[in-house]
Amino acid sequence: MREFEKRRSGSVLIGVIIMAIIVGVVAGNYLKSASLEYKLSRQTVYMQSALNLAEAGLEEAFLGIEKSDWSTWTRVGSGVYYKNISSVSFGDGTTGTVKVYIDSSGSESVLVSEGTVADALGNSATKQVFISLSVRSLFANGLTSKDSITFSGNNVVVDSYDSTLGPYDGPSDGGTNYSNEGSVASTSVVTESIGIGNGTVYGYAFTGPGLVPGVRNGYIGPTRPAPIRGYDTDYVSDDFTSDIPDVVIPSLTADYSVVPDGGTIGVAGASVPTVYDMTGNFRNDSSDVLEIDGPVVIIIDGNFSVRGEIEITEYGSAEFYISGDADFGGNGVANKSDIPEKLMIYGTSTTSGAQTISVHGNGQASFVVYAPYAEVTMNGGGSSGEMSGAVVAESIRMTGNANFHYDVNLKNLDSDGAKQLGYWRELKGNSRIDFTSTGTIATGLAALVAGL
Amino acid sequence: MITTIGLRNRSRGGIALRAGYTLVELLIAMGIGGIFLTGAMTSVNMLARSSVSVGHYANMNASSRRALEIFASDVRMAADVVTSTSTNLVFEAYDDTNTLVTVSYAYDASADEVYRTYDGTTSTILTEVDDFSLGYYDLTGASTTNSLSVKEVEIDASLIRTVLSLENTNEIISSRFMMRNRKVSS
Repeated sequence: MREFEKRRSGSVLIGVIIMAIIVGVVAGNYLKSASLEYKLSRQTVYMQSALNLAEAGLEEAFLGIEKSDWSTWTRVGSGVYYKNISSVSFGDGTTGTVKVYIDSSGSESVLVSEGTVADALGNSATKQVFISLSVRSLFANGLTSKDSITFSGNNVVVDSYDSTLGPYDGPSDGGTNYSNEGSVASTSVVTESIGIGNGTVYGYAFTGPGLVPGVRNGYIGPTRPAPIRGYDTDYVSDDFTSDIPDVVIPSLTADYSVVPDGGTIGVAGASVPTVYDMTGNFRNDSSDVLEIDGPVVIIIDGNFSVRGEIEITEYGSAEFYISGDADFGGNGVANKSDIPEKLMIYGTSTTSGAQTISVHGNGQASFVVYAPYAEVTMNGGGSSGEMSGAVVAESIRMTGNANFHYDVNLKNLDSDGAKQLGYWRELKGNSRIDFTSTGTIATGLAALVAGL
Repeated sequence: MITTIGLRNRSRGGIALRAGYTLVELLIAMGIGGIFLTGAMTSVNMLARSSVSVGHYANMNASSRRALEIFASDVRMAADVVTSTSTNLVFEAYDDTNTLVTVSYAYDASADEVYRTYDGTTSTILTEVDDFSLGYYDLTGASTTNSLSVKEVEIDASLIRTVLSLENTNEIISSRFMMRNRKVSS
């Protein structure tokens, strides 16, 4: 009987052991899953944090560029700086390190940043980001307005070309220097901020949120010849936003206080411009021809009217800063270089709608207009109506037979010294840079730039 | 010799007999035993289910984390958007050698899988996907259906795993990944 009772006690034990094994297996599975989950989530957090640190390093470099303050950086060479920030604490013994290297010795700045997160147990994650900063152009579109862009009449056409390849040479002449990037854009949120009527835009139209361009019998898109009425939805978007800063008149010492009506001004081949700072109205009569044969800056606190002609030679370039109304009539301004950026017209008024800038008559011209508070009108007719360059204004109006060719090269024009992101690359695998020293970083960065 | 017998033991012919249980006693004992056994089996079953469920959740979390990491990395390198529907995204992105390659993400509802095609090579990045959609946002943060305006992308997906007729689901709503290399209209 005792043995019988012993066996019964044993069976209970076995039952308990079996249950304990089951519970143990289940608990082990729980723990394994929880451990795996913890490791994965920790690694995900570390990787995200490392990327954030790398981008924070780039922000630090942006600040240095913006303020031109490199006092907390190590100067490696001319325009080359390095910074190591190792005091980022995530708590519980987890720390972050940021290493940033910027080389702005060339035409564009290149930056590389490494973010690392490591804990006391030896777990870590590292991310590297490589970017470039290029000049920001205020002329990323052909026609940009704060308020409205309106085409009226027939045969108003906007398209594009590249001035680095020569003057505009369209399909009607069998040419090849033309393209379909004649973008028009408005930051306005008012209905039909862009109304092209019967006109044609061989390119894009960008409006404010929720708006669409107004099209009567006109067309927006890439198809040539333009089909009647409508737009290609791939060429229209409603997400346009843009900063349009006020004009800043350069602080220059004036060489002259009066701009002559005719004759020749400017010094061919000069490295510094001749500066005219004039208070009062400028009027060039029908018999006057003013030749600009070198770089000039003309600041006019008053109205500006051309009834004769202003001719910019192949050696000339002009920057006009005009506070009043500007009227390019008669034979207008002949920019013989055919490079629009050699004739910059800035409207300096800061009162909404108080300034008008008009191009009409035989005003065939290559020019760039930047007048944030002006109404710009471009009329067809005369002997031509062909205009090229880019316009930024409060409102823009084009009338019958006016053709405007946006110079896509103006996307690269350094307008106000501001920078924009050129490219952004996360460096992975073999493309990563060795951050051991500034020497290894420089070597790696040079290889990256060469590979672009 | 001293023979110890139980209360119900009887002696017959010198042989000690152990008394049997009455039917009522047996029924009660079996009933109580059955209840305990059922409870034990239910507990074991629930333990097994929850154990497998935990494994499934861990698996779903791991696969979704991995998928989102790959997706985020691709999207950050995107330079242009070709197609942007709720179940299909095709874009051009820079690879490690700074070359533009075509990348696509597509949801196959019949196979319950999400595919990634990178420079012509297709792989499955999410399996047993019950629902999947892509959301697009422009530079201002507003939702958009226009490929020209797409600057940010968001994933909304529901993964599902079934164990012993019990469904485990895991909802993924990603953050909005920005196409850092993509220039939009501003």
